[in-house]
Amino acid sequence: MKKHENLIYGAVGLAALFLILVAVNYLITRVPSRIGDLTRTDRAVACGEPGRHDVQCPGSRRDEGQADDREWQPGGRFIETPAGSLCVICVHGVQGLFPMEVFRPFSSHSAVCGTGCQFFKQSSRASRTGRILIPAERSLAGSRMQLVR
Amino acid sequence: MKPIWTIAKRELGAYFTSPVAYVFLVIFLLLTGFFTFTAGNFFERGEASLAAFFGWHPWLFLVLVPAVGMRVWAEERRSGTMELLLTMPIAPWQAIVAKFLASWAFLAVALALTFPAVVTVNLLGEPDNGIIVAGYLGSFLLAGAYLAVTCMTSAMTRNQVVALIVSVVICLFLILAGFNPVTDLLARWASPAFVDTVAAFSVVTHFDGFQRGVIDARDLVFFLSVIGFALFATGVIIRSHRSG
Repeated sequence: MKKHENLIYGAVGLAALFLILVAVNYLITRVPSRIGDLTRTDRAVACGEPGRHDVQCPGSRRDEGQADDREWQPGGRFIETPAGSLCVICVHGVQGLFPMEVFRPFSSHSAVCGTGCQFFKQSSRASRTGRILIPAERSLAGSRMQLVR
Repeated sequence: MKPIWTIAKRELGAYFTSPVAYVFLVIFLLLTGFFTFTAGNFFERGEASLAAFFGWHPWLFLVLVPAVGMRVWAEERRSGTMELLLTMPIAPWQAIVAKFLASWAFLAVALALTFPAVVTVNLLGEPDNGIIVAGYLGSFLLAGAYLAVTCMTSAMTRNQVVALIVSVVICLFLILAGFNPVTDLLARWASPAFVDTVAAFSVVTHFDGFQRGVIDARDLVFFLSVIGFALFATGVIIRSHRSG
């Protein structure tokens, strides 16, 4: 018994530490705990105002504490700019939804910007001068988002 | 603090006295480049972001971080220097923390050497550099969590390969718990609360926020908890060896 004393105390300590850490992690999920958002929201807002459509996500798998508090909840905003290019602003903090999933269906055509997804200069130029207008429904086809009607 | 600093400096220096460190760095950078630019379709995406770069990190680190950390304690045990180290006038926890910090610093160097990806994306477009900074912070913490697990497995055995395999398996579980196909599968028969609980134990779930540029206390606490728990377990294992 004496020989295994260290091991027993260690195992008990480990179990206690595990429970404490689980409790701390659980308690911290109960309160909104965002320390910082390093994204540059000013760029996303500069996309343009006309032709807005709200977009909804398939639903957050995280609790509400993580939910974003910006006005374009719950999923984001789909914008048709005057030049005819399209833009989706994805709300950060929506679990299981990467910006790419939103952009993928039309990124090679005319997407301009979005939080966390600025496009290459060449793409931006092309989209500024581009005349292709892809309807919102078609652009979102195959993605995990849909327009709010 | 001084003993920790002394041991950490010696350990970090030891990495660079052998060619292993340089081989690791080259392999890490090659794989990072391959997964970002080729497998991640960096140029085809047309997005000035490093999402393709960070998205692969949980998988890339799965093998590379255990490869760095497998020797930390296994080598000491194999060569019989562990007893010598632990009879020095330092507490075991100081040695554990020092060795961990040295390996973590080495991984930080490896991460820092990926700066050409940041330069590339800034030349090609105007990325949101805040997201890139958050991504690097997340990657650093992710590497720390994997490394702490590897330190723990390394203390269990004198065979480095065994330490590598066991840590890869544990880290794989930490990924799969929050991996979408797995959570979708779980959701078929389990309640959403159960699926969320399982996913909360995954590094992927907590790495997602960093990839979006969001620094959340919950994600920070999770990674620090994994590191703390694994290092504490390392201490228990080492003490049990010493007494046994």
